[in-house]
Amino acid sequence: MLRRTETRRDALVPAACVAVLALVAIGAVLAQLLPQLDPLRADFQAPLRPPGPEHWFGTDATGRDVFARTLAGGASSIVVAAMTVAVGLVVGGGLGVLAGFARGWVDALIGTLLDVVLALPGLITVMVVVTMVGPGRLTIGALIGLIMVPAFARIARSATLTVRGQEFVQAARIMGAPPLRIIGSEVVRCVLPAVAAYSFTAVTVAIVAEGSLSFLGFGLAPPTASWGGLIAEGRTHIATAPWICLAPAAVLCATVLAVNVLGERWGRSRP
Amino acid sequence: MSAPLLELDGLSLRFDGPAGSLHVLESVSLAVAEGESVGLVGESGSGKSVLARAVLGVHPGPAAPSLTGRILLEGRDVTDGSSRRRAVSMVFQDPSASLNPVVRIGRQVLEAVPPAERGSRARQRAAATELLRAVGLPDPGRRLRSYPAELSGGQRQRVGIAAALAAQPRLLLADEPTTALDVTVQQRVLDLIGELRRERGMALLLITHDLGLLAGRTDRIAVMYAGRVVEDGPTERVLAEPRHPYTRALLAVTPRLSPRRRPPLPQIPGGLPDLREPRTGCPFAPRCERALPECATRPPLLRAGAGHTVSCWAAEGVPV
Amino acid sequence: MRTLLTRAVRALAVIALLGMLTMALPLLLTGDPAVAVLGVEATPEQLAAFTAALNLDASPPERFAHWLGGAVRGDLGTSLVTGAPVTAEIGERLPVTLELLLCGQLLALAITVPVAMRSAWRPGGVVDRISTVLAYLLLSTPAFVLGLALILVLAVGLAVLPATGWAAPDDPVEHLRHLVLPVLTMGLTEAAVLVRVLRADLIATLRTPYILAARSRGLSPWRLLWTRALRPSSFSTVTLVGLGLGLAFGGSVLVETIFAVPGMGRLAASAIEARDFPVIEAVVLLSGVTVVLVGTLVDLVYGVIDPRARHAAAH
Repeated sequence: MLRRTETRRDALVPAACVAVLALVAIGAVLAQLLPQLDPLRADFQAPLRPPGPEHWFGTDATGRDVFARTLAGGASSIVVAAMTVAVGLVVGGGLGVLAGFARGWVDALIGTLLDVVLALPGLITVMVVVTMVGPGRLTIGALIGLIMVPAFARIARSATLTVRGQEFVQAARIMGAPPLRIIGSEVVRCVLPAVAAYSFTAVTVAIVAEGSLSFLGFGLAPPTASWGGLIAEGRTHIATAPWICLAPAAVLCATVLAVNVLGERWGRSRP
Repeated sequence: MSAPLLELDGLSLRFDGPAGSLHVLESVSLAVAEGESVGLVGESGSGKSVLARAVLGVHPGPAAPSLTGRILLEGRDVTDGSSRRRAVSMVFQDPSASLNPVVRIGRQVLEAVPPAERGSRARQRAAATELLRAVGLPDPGRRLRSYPAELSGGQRQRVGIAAALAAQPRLLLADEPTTALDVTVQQRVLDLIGELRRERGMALLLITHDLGLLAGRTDRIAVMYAGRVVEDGPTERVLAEPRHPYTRALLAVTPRLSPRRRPPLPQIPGGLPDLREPRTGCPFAPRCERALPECATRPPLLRAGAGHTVSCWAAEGVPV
Repeated sequence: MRTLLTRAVRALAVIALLGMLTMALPLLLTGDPAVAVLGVEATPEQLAAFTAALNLDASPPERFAHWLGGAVRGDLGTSLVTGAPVTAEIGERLPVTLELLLCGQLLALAITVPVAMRSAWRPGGVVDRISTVLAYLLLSTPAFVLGLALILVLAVGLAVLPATGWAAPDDPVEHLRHLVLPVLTMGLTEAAVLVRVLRADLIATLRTPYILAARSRGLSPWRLLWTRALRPSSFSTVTLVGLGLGLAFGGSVLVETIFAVPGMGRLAASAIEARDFPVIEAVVLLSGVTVVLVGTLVDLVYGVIDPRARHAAAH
């Protein structure tokens, strides 16, 4: 009896997480397509309306639909997170594999460079660079990705070291296979799962960081909608119209929670 | 005859986990008298360490096993996990792993003494020094402030023995106390345990996979296989006239004691049965040279001589 | 000894590279940084003065050498916005942030240690399951959302605490009242991470033979956890708490913004908005140096926690 409920919950929780993420993704796409969900369409007759059948999440101070804006904010989060993971995987994964495979001074050099990045105050650094090169989803995603490079690299490096010691790689080296081909095939094939598991964490960091930047006013500039920006806008009305910041905040937390839980399951399912 | 110090009466032990159950001990009966020294021998996985921990009343990890049968200590039933009242202590297998790396030796040695009985700092120092002196650790007063990492393997096991003595137990369990040590140190540690036992009148349950270690050291030997005691008798009789085919096979792979002077087998062929199922017949039958059709059912317990019992269809003896 | 030397050399290399990277930041601006900051209406004299004040004609390594030369004499330059020495600006803001951080970390530890112990003692038990769910919820709540939620409940809803603002320690009661919400936000966010880490390490320690041995000698669960299991399980937690100190320079910007606390984070944010390079450079560099030093220091603390590490280093 106990075991049956356990298994049902084991299947139910990931399903709920996938559902949350799917809804956010579908909503993000619909917000780009449907005119009813235009995040910028303002209904000046109906500012600060509480949630109701007309406006599911209510309206903000200029009468814009909070639901539409939350969906549009999801699109920003998705783009930023995708860019973060791409940069982390390519740059961090690449450096890690290189360091693990080459060892010696290359390893030491890469290690020192990564220590420099680790020593940077992450949020502050991204804020500085964004004010100078201008905000944009891809820029912000890439910057967060760069800050996360050391974490990706460390995982890729230790996975590479494990694989490197394995017989088939040693054999390939002795047979005289060119190092690049060994890296290209076997190593990447084995390192990728380890780094992919970390991508879940990277996605949550990216979403939270993008939200924080926009909340601080150093992220995506209006009119681009972002969860952090929406929450910052809603702050001024928190006492009278709490839904303006609570709705995007709840969706943000639900998304991060879903990714966290899925990441934990994924990590646990691999030995 | 008075009640033995330790009596296991049909003790069965099972670990229940998400992946199923493990039937580790099956109806084990064993007695250790006051001041007696008993060797418990078997391959790794035979359940002898689990048996020791059941007697001690602790198990690693949070999963408590389910027990049936009884564990009697000084005539008291402690099966439900009630306090052993410091009657039992254990010397653990690997002294490097069983001493806390971040706690000074002086404190660890006195771990078994309840804080209320420890007295002043000076008395504690004296007590700890005395214990370390008793186990032959050189310069015991200075060693109190050392950490385990600063000692050699043999010295660490002496500390482990001192920690076990601190509670002044009446029964000392020693679970493979020398397996993790250098061969040169093994004999000395075993000699030390033997001396301390005689001096202090303790009973000893010495657990080992090496029958050869027990000759001349223990009064009796109990042989375990797959969670059952298959043979139990006086040391000389078990070594000279083993009745169970498993005991014979064990002796054959123990070079120093092999009764037949033939080249020793590297090991007994075959492996332990699957512990996820309760054993129906004799668990050794699949590996036994003399297996009979009856071996598919539970073998009888036979008396093969004074204080010598064996559980086997092929052995000669009187049913108990 | 040798490893200690290599560590020191590497730490210095990291600081030097970090310095040059920081000094290269103005190069990110397109065109002449002076024009970018002062605008096209600025007179050539103003532009020249700006360039000279920041030593912008020099290369990043030269600028870093110059900065370092000043730093050892206690001179971190002058703020472009206020005209005050950067050291004075920092000296005013740093105590505020340090107080927040210290209280936040202490709160986090005060929550973490007992909760992790109860969870690790019975993994999968009621306490463990509740704390796991709570930790996951907290982990998934960014600091700015948690801060707003606390404001909504404690300041707006119950109206027991001020929503934002700061009061000097001259008025202890008001000071504490303003301290509660930011410290709660920091402490809870940090505790969510620490509980997971310490719980996992404690579970691993509780399975070791030496804990089994101690249990067999009759140690009470309380003594077992506090005097035997906690110390060998605390490496990762100590590292995280140590690295948290790197936040002293600007890392608390979120919490300080939500609660309008005049600390280092606000200083950093306004300096970035105004492109006040001397302040930005000081914040980034001091933060980096702190992280590097703490990283080295944590390695030394390991030796105190774990005699094995000390023993290995001596040989």
